Order: sequence, then structure tokens, then C-alpha cells
Amino acid sequence: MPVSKLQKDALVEFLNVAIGRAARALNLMVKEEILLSIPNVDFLQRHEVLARLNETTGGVVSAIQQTFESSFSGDAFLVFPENQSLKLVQYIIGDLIDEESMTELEQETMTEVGNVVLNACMSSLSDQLNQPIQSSIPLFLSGDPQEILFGPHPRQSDDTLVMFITVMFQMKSGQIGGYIMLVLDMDSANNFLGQIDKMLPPPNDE
Amino acid sequence: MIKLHKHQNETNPLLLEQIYDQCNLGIMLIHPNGEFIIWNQWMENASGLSRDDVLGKTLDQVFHKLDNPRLTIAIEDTHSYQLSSILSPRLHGNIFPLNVKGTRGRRSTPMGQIVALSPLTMAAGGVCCLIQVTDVTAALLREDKLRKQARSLSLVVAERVKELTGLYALTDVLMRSDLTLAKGLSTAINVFPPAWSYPDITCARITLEDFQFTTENFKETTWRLASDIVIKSEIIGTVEVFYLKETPERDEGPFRLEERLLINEMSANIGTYIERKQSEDTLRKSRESFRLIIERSPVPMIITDSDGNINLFNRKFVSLFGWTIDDVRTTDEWWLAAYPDSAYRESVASSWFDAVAEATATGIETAPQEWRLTCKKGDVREVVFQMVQVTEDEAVIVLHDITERKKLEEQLRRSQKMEAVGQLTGGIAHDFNNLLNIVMGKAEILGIKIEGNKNAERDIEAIIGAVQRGASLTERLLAFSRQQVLSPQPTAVNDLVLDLDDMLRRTLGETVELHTHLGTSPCQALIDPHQFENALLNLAINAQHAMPKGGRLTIETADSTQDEIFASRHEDLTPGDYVVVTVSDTGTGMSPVVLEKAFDPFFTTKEVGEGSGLGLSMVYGFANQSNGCVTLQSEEGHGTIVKLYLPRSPMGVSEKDPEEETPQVTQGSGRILLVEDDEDVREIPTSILRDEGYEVFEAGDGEEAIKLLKEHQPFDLLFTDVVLPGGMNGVEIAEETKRLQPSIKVLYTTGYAEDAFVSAGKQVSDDKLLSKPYRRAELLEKVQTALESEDD
Repeated sequence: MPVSKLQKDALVEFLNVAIGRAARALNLMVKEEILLSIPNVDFLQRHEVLARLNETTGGVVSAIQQTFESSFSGDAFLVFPENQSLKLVQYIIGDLIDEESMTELEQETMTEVGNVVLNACMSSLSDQLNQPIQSSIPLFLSGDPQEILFGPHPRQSDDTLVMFITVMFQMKSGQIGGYIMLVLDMDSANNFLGQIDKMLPPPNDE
Repeated sequence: MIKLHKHQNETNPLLLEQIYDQCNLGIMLIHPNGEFIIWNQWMENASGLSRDDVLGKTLDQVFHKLDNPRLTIAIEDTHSYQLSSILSPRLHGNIFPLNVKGTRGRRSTPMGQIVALSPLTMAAGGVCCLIQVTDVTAALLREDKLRKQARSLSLVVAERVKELTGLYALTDVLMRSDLTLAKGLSTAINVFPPAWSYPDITCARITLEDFQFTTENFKETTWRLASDIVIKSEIIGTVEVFYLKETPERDEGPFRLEERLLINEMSANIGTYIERKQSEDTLRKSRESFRLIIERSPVPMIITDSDGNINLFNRKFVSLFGWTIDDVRTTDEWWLAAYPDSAYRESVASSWFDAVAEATATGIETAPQEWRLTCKKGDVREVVFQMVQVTEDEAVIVLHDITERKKLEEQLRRSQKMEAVGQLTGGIAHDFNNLLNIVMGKAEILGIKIEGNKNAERDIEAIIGAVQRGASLTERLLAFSRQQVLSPQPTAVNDLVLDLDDMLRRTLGETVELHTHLGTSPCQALIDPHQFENALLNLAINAQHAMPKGGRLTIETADSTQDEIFASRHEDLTPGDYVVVTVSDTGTGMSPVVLEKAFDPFFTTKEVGEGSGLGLSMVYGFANQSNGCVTLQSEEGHGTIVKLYLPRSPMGVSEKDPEEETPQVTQGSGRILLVEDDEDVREIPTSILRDEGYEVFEAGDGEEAIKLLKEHQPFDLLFTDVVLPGGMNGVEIAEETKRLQPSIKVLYTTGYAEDAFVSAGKQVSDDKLLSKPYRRAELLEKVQTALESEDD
């Protein structure tokens, strides 16, 4: 699915605002400051996403998922390589009980962090597109990216469009990279881009 | 989004109310206007607020001072954007003031919660906020407990690791071989504090009998943990650890059980260490003293190892043979250096390796091996080698330098031979002289009897001539055996050599040149001048024989002082001042075999009949008897050098012999006591003297003579043989008769007299001694002279 340069530029601008909001929300909750970098946005096909993730995560990821529904529908994910997510939680709450995996409540913490970031993005989008986006309660997932992101799901197919946003979480002890993903099916993607187009000024020369 | 079943109609508000009241989670629903519209049973239980208290009220009205911005935003997000949120207990603590009912009589406790917010769209429009509360108190407690356990576990592990690290550090220090015992312990003490619970306030001390090692911050306090250092069940010291400040009470005072075990282990390690160091020390000292013993031993020694390296040449070795470890590092180099001649080297090596193999097999030292060793300076020494394997790796080779001993042995052997030959020839000469005396006497008596018979007189003269030749032969034999009668006197050797010049030139003939180099110093020796002349003539004759085709004879004289070393190399020579007379020729020289025998009497290289073989023997005897010596250097084809060392005498004019007077035989008168053991010999002087008118009493030995003296004294003259059997010699008889009759005169006669005079400590002047064989006229003259002499 072609995404025009204009569409993309508009989206990047929306997302800058969204990430700014996410950072503010995050810092209301955690003691140690976390800065979020300016996002890098790509529109990718499903297999490209997997290739990208496998390359950077080594195969095991932690993710916070929220499904959303608006004029377009899909799943929003905040994805980290597993070891990076552990680092993030450790940074926020101090020592982990087991350095190699999260306990139930540590997972809840991670979930809330994801929830804050994703909500900030979606509320920002909702503002920009001027229409409500209904989201579900977030879930914590961990495992193989293929299974987590593209597991049996009726709304997804090979031409699923993924808005793939790379965000760096900058902490005192170093930075970790995470990805915000909006996974949209064909119809939703069309609707989404249509909504974006509405926001753009009418074409002049073209 | 709840989708109702087709029996939707069967559901009613009562049913729904029952559902959310039965749910095991808190359910609250907030109307878009902010008021609670649902508050389920679970919430009533947890909050203690009934739905009558809550419904129709806002969040702020129900819960005062929640002051949770995240909750505010989340509710806002739900209402405004229809977004769902989750609030976790680790980030927010207890979000709502809810309690968990106490079980088993315990008090109720605050509830740990997960709060989830989600939008519910109402049919009439507007979005309600559904809040669900899950009780995670148990999970929180469990995780807190787990976290606490993990923390304390890691603390315990850290403690144990610290102790182990301490033990390892101690082992590291104690294993270092470069530290002395004292340095090792003073380093070791510092590994103690870090291994204890409170390193900063820990100090330690190791106390031994004579020493004490402490950490820098050491101070004795009441918080003390100690362990004895034990070696072979004897306490030799203590290890102590002190805390400098009070700390919580543990198993043993402020110390843990693990620290007790640790200090025991550490003190045990230190005990083992001290024991090891002490035994190493003993070993090192004994090795060192072994080295010193070898190094300073007065016996030359070499230490080699099994790899063929030479580890040591001791001091004595270096001083004797010159080789140092820098010259010769391996046994291979040694063979080449010490035995440069390859054939000789091979023979030495083969017998050496045989000996080493045998010694290795039997486990004892090698049999002594005697070889010629080449020193660093190139001189060759006679050395006895013996090797003993000290350890598996090291062998000691002991050397015994026998060069000097060999020389002395050779000298001794030679001098013993000369002595034996001398005694033999001396004995023969003595007996022979007695016989000649008889023949001479009888011949002269016969001569008187047959006066007028010319033929018979000629025969008698021939007999007398033969006797005189015999006498001259025995005289030379006696000279060799050092038993001739010498009259040593201060003699100017240079003058004598000059006097002899003429005679020497005649002896040498025209083909031999004579060169004389006389010393500028006086060259005055205490010798018998006649015998010196004889010696010089003998040497000249030998030289002439050695130069049949002509050549040069050189006679040199010089004063010289000989030291101990020179004296020690020449038998019977004492250090002192000598006149050295060197006679050298350019003749054929002598082979070593000939040289060896050159002084032997009757040894000659001349044709039979050409020489007596007594020439050099006489020279040898003369030099030795004069308290000097003679040396002989010669090489075949390169001439011969003879050196006479004659004792120097104090300055004084040499006495010229008084002119010999013709014997004046006059009629004698007087009583003579004649002592001679040999009856045949005695008869000769007895009859001569009686013929001349003397009254003669004969005695065979001293006892008889004394008896005669006592019976028939006074006598005018005692005429006695020097060497006599029966206890008294001539000298002793003379002393005894003098005692009995002081006026008596004495005349000695002898075949050889020196021994008797020497043993009597008496020097006898020439005119009181008559050498056998003697002529009638000589006897009468000496008797007359003795009778006429004034003193005695």
C-alpha cells in the first residue's frame, strides 16, 4: 500500500506530539526521568517487520498490546527485546527478584508503562484526527515476535500494513530501543490514510 | 463490547446486578457526569462503604485526597478518548483506600490493587468509565518476601565469597616462593580484615615466639577472635582478629560461626606454611653449607650435573689448575681443555667412563685414576681423580695433585739408590783397602829382604804400583760413597779454575775450545780443593768424550743464594749461600735413560776399558759430602750442563798447601799402643814399626787396648784404626787413653773415616790421620810427626 510523502510527513508530526505527551505521562509516574527520542516512522509489510525485529531482538520480545477501534481498527503494540524490557523495569522499580524474568507484578508495571505510551499516542491521534479511538485494556505478552504480533488473528492478512515507529528510551543508565507498532488491516489502513488525507491541505499543482 | 445472547429478553437488571455482585473483583462505574452509578458488593466489603454511601457521589466526594494524577488522566482518557488504562501497584501503591479482611483473627490490612479503566458507551450517548479493581495483596506480599529473601541470600553469598576470597588470598601469599618467612607473614596478615564482616574496623595479629606481625591499624580490644598455630601438636603461636568498635552480638561474641571456621582454617594454613618454610630454610642452609664446604675445601673439587654442565670449580681447584667456570662450562669443554692431546684424551676418557659406569653400578665412588692434567697456563700436572655421585643430578669430582709428591718420590728413590750403592761400594773399598795395606806392607818388607836382586826388586815395584792403582780406585769409590776423608777449607774457586786452565786445555785437546766466565764476586767455597780439582777434571774428561768432533766447554762460576723451594728439590741441600760452578758442553748429550743412571758408579757409555764409570759418581759424592749438590741437565744432541752447588765460606785467604816434604825416615824410638781388629792388617805396621826400633803393643779392640795401657803405661803414641768392633771406636779409645794418660799422642788410620769422626763430632787434622793403604815411609813419617807434635 502506497503511503505518500505528505501522508507520512503529517503522521510524523502527529507522532512527535504523541511521543511528547507519552514522555510527560511517564515522568509523572516514575522517579527517574526517562526521555523519549523523536520517533522514526516506517510503513512496513508484515514480513519486513519480522525481519527487522529478528535482526534487533535476537528472537524473543516482550510486548504490551492494546486493540483499538475507530473508523479504522487494529492492534497497537509497544515492543522491546526481552532483555531491554527487563532493563527498563529494573530502572523504574529497582532490583528485580529474578534478573532473567519478570514476576506477575513486575509484568503489570511493564504493562502500565506500555499503556501510558500507547494511550498517549492514541489520544494524540484522536485529537489530530478529531475522532474517538476506543482501546481495550492492555495485555502483556512475551515470546516469539511472529506469534505475539501476528498470531491467529482474523483481521490480519499478508497485506497487513504496519506503522512501525522506533523510539529510544533514554535513561541515566543508558538507552534502550523500543518500537511502537500500529497493525492495521487493509480496510483500516485505507480508512486511516483517508483520515490523514482529510487533515492535509487540498492539493494545488498535482 | 458485551454482546447479549438471543435470550436477551430473559435478562433483567436484577440478573446483571447479581452478576457484578458475585464477581471476585471490584466494579465501579462512573457516569459521564462524574457520579458513581455502580458499586458492587466486593467494593462494599473492601471499602467499608455501602452503595448508599457512594452512588450519586463523585470520586472526590467518596475518596478524599486521592491525589493521583495518573488516575485523573486515566479517567479523563476514558471519558474523553474512550481509551483503556491500567494502574499497577508497584508504581502507585494502594490506589484506593481498600482493605483485605484479616484471616485467623489478624487485623485487616491495606489491599494491593491492580486498577483497570475502560470506556463503556451508553445507549443514550456519552461514555461511562468502568473501573475494575483486582486484589493482588497476596502477590505483593509474596513478591516482597521473595525480594527480601533474594537480598539476604545475596548478602550471605557475599559473606561466604568474602571468606573464600580471604582464604584464596592467604593461599596466594603463602605459596609465593620469593618471600621470606617474615615477609610472607607480614604480607599475609593484611588479607585478614577484608575477609571479616566489617573490614573497616577489623585488625589482626600473628604472634610467634620471637615475632609479631600486625595490620597497620592494629589495636587490642575486647572483641577478639583467636586461633592457635599448631605444628606437630605443639602450639607455636596465635592468630588473632579484633574488631575496633562494638558490633551486633553473633555466634561467638560479635563474630559469626563462619568466621570462627575461617580463622581456624587460616591459622592451620599458616602453621603449615611456617613448617614448610622452616624445613626449606634448613634445607637451604644445609645446601649452602655443603656448597661452602666444597668451595673452601683445601682439596680441589669439581661439581658436575647429569646434563654435563660444570657447576663449580672450587677455590683450591682454580688456584692449582687455573681453569675457571668461565673458561670451561661443560664436561665436553673440559675434556678438550684438560687433555689437548687427542690420543691421550681418548685413553683417559675410556678408562674414566669405565670407572664411572662401575661406580654407578656399585653406588660407591670411582677407583682413583691417575692422569696428567693440562693447566690453563699450559703446564702439566700429575693428578689423581675420584668421582662420587652425591645426588641423582650432581656428582663431585675430587682431585689430588701429586706432582710434587711424584717428584719427591723420584728424588727419594734416587737418593736411596745412591745411598745403597754408596754403602756397598764404601764397604767394598774399606775391605779392599785393608787387603791392599797387607799387600803393600808385605811387598815393602819383601823389598827390603831382597835388596840387591834387581829382577825381584822390579817385581816388587810392579806389585807396589798395582797396589797404588788399586788404592786410587778405592779412593774414588770412597769419594762417591761420601766416605773419603775430605779436608774442607775456604777455597777461592776462581783461583782454582784459573790454576787448572792449562791442565784442562791439555786434557781437552785441540778440537775443544775452553771458555771460562768467572764470577766477579769472590766465589769462595768451603771445600777440599784437591777433590774439587778432581771433580772439575772428571767433568772436563766427560765433556771431551761427548765432543769427539770438537765443540765448546764453558766453565762459569758465580755466587748464588738458594731459597727453600730450590733446596726442597735437591736432596740434602739446605737453603743458603752457594758458589755455583757450571760446566756446560756442546756435545752429544744424554738420553733420559742415560741421564737417570749417570751418577751410578761403574755406569759408563764409554767403550770397555776407556773409563771407570766412576767420574760422575765421584763428582756426585764430592758435592754431597761437601754439603752441596750437583745437578745434571741434558738432552740428546743438545749438550750437557752440570752445575755444582758448593757451600760458600766466609771471606778469608785460601791456604795453599805447604810444599810437600820428602819423607825423612829416621830411626824411631818410643812405646806405641797399636789397635787394629784385623790380625793380618795389624801385622804390617807392627813389623814395620818394630823394625824401626819402636816398642809396639798390639790390641784387637778398645777393651784390650785400655787393659794394655793400664798394665804398661806410659805409652808415647796410640796408633788406632777408627772403625773397630767391640763397642769402642778409635776416637773413643783415644779419648779414654787421654783420660788415663793425658800425655799420650794419637795417630788414626782408616779405610774410611768420615762416619766415625762425624759420629764422634770430631774433626781430625790431616797429619793425625793415615789413610789405608799406606806406604812404609808414610807410616813412619806420620808416626814421627805425631810423636813430635806439641798439642793433642
